[in-house]
Amino acid sequence: MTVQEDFHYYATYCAAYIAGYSHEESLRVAYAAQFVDCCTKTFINKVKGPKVAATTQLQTELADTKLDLAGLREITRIWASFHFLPGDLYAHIPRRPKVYMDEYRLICNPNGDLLVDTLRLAKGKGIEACGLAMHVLADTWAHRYFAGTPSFVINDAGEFYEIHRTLDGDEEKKIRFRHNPVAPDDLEKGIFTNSINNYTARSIMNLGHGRAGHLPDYSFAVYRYVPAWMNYEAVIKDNPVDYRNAFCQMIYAMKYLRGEHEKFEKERYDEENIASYSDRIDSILRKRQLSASEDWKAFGEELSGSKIPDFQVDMYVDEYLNAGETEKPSTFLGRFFTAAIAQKGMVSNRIYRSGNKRAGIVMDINTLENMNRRRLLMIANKTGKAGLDGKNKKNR
Amino acid sequence: MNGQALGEMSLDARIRKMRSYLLYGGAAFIILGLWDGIKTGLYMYFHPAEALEEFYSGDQLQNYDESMYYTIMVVIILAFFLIFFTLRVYIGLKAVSVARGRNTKARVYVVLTVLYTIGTVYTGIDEILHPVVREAHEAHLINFIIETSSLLVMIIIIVSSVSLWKLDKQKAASQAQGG
Repeated sequence: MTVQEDFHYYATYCAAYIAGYSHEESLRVAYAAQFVDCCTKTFINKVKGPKVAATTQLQTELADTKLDLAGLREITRIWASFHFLPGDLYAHIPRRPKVYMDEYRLICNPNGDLLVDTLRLAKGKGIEACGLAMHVLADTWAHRYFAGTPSFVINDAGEFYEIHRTLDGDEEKKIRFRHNPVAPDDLEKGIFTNSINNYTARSIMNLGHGRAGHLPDYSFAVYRYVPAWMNYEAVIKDNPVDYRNAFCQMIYAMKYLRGEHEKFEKERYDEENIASYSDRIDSILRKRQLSASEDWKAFGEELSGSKIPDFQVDMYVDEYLNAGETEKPSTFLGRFFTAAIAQKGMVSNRIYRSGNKRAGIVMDINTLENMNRRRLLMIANKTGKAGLDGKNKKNR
Repeated sequence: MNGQALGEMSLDARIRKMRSYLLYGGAAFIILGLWDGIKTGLYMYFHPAEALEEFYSGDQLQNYDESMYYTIMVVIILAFFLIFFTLRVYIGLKAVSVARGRNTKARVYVVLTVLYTIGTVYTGIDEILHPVVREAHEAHLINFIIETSSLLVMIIIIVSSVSLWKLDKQKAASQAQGG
């Protein structure tokens, strides 16, 4: 259920390099971006890190999560903060009850206020925060129109048709779905895997883009479908265009994070710096393949003239495990965990402040004084909790 | 901001909406048909004497072999149930088929639904005007609620079918103009 390694790792590397980072810095940015899809509670337990820093959940972890209020809030905090950043927390539709609007307002869309907040939060916080922010940014394009909370009335979808653009015009082909998570998607026959149809309002099957399978993660896919929230209207998802926007916006965002721009503005894309690579990038984005990793890797290596190693999830584990307690926050993983906790706290708090308790009652640790914030992070490192759920009254 | 259609719905969206209503209406019509059988079966099982009295007039029940009359009653009621349930299944499946875009020329099921609706309304009015006093009053109330739901489902099937015909004609006309 994620934009794949091809974009989060290799494409982010390319964008970072074009934005002005060195080869080594670009690798770290790319690693952090991809690591957002790997930082589960299971992984964090292995390195004895703070569980509150989890940025994703395994299928098994989701299956273990109860769908009571606490469980739903935990799921929403993770998925809305890192993979389905809400586009408009104050959206309004007439004649809809609050319970519906709480879910509707979590729909992911690019160029939202939360994206600006995400980047402001990452500024000056290092490479790891930068990488994490790039993952969030890229997902706002890939995962738009879905919400990071289990919701049948938002995330259910039907009538998928793939649009093939030919010289004679657009050709539509009905997409067939199956529920076999083991079998790869068959691009030739147009058969894809998606989550099982479940009419329960808050089933895990209705989390994020499960009902669309991996379609949002394929940069070549252009398709038409009817989302549940769109009142029977169809929407066309043009991934090549969206992914290109994501790539150009990442370059602009990273330049902002490096200090080349004073502020981050929505709807700005750095097309200038990719002008000479435009056709190459388009051809990678539009190539019909399950993974574009090889193409992005080749492009990245041409850009920098250096080899890009394959992503290894355990790359920084030893550094973290071997560090002393006071040194852990300064390691790569330590800084990543800090950035993740900050991001989760910020987004969850914004959701709460908008009047929506779907992510729970969450204080924003970023508004605390540095001393209190460090205390909370140290507690988080020890206990796996950071009082982000408002329960740790002792630290208020 | 999310592309929500706040104004007038497009033609395709209205067609999808009517198909959705028809699909669920058709399925509900079949399921509610099962209720007829369940309710009658339970009534005959738990209140056999009342059922017999209702089925036969008082005079017929003098000097009778109860088990034989009971068996005849069950067989006749079962036969009627099967006929009406088959009718419901036919209507329901046709509605689902039309909702899925197949068999768009089907019309008979709508006529049958209209007749079924008239019959249901007539029976309902008759029960209100000439109520039969039964022991199980709460069962009577539950039955009334479910029958009302069933009536609503029939109306949904009729209205959405007619709307779909009109919308399909509109779409064909606009495609012909555009083509």
